[in-house]
Amino acid sequence: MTKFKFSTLALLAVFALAFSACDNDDETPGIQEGTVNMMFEYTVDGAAFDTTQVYDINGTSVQFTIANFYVGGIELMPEEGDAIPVEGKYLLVTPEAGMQEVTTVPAGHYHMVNFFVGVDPAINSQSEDDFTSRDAEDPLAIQFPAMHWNWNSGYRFLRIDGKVDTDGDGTMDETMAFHLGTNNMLQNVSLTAHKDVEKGSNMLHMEFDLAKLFEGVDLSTDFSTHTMNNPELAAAVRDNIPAAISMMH
Amino acid sequence: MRYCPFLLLLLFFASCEKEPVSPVDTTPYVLELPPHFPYPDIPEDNELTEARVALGKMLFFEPAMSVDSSITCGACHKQSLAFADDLPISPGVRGRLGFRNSPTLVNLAYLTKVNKDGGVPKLDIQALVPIEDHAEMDLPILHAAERLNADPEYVDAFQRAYGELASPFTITRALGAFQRTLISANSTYDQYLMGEVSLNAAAERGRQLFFSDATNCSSCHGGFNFTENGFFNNGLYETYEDWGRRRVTGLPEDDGVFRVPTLRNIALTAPYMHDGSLPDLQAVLEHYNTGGTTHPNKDNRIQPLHLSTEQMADLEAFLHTLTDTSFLTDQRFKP
Repeated sequence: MTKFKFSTLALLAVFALAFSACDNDDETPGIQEGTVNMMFEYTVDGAAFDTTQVYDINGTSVQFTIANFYVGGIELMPEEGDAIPVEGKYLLVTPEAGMQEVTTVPAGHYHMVNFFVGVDPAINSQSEDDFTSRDAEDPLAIQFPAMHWNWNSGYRFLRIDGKVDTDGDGTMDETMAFHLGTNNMLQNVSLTAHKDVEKGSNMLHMEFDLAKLFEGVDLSTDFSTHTMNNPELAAAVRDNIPAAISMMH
Repeated sequence: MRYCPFLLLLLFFASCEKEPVSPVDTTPYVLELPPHFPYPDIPEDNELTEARVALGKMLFFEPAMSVDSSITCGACHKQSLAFADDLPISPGVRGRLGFRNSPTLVNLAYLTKVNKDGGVPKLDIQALVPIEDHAEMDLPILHAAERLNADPEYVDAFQRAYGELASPFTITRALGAFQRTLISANSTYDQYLMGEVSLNAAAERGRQLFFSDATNCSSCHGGFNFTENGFFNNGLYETYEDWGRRRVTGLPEDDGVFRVPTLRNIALTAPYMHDGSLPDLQAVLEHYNTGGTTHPNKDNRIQPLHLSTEQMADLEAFLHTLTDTSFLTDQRFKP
């Protein structure tokens, strides 16, 4: 009888172990942590983004179909101490993506958020863990619509597709394609956040203004770059990225 | 009832782990190579197995890999032509033309960077290029995977090969595995190296010229595979419509720079050059004999050679000894 009891106990202990193995480690008591999410609100010169809408950008009528980009290298700057990097975290930002979880950090005031638009050179090289070996849920896995080039096997850091009316006759007559990639298209963005992260869920709400992205670009003539065939145009758009993204709250 | 707790226990443990994925059939596939061929590096995540090679072959000859199910990989890579094609530019779906000549697939297992511009860092993801390219098969690979997973025969073949369903990973790996088996190592020249045959007088003179400093051919086309896998500008044009490696690196010094291809089975893979612009071997030899254009990136080994007509004929005779006729009819590579 005693023997039986012991084995039951042992079994229970193993059960407990099996359960606990699935759990995350407990939070350190005393330190409050908050989850940080990011959300990008798409706009065109202040107007809400909609793929059915025709916008006027610098005098050219434009309609968007795809407006996606990668965000990586995220780090949060607390009021005191070193920046907290979010290692290996990538977001695929799309008009439909909504709120995306980034990381969990100690509660407190964060005055800056830094990230880059693009994919870092090591991952972009596709020589080690290439996109075919990633889980389907991984934003760096192969996407449809494609966020990679098939001829170069690197990522498209930013992909804006649509149509433009080049002659102003009211008909969309050319396919717009801004596909930015390769290492020198990586663009750092640094935003003043002044965010108080509290226990629970917190959001960094940002605006992505496509009119600002094309500031100084004449879309009636310069409506397409696959980076390599028109690196100057790609660089012009890349340089507009920091101005196109702003902190809302 | 007695075993119930233990079963539950098993379940709890199992729930913590990812589903075990292991191929059902792990029978290794061993490449047959002559002594002068090194065993190629095979990636750890894609060891050669019978099941993987067989699956790769199914995919290679699978029309469903093209958007309208009209063409297969084999449409532009024909075994009878050393897995190349005889057109300058082979049409893709709906007759669309790209801008590069279909290359031979022989001895791809030894390539370090793939494609003519080296834009793809490894063979195991190269299949994405032709499958997705608008002017080739024009099918997003995620759609290709969906199609294959709707076919029980493929589901079974993917399980046997990788223990997984069709995915960008398994599709490209299987095609890589099959293509690694396309070893051509039994040409007249290989038989000569093994002391089985001798070269005729013209081919022997051509061999000596080929490996001499007078022509410098073997400084780029050297080694057992007749390429050092380098990237150079060979002075074909003054201005390149196709930028070659510059398209990948963006560097002006890579303008008109292309991968040096193997010369194995070269007599079968006309027309030549990245764009298929030279119709035959005579035209190629003539190009190198004149020393090409004055493009600033032209490799300095490309210089006028001042070869006689007889010497060029000898070189051509030697190049013909690199044809491997047994490879062209090898049953293992047939659909």
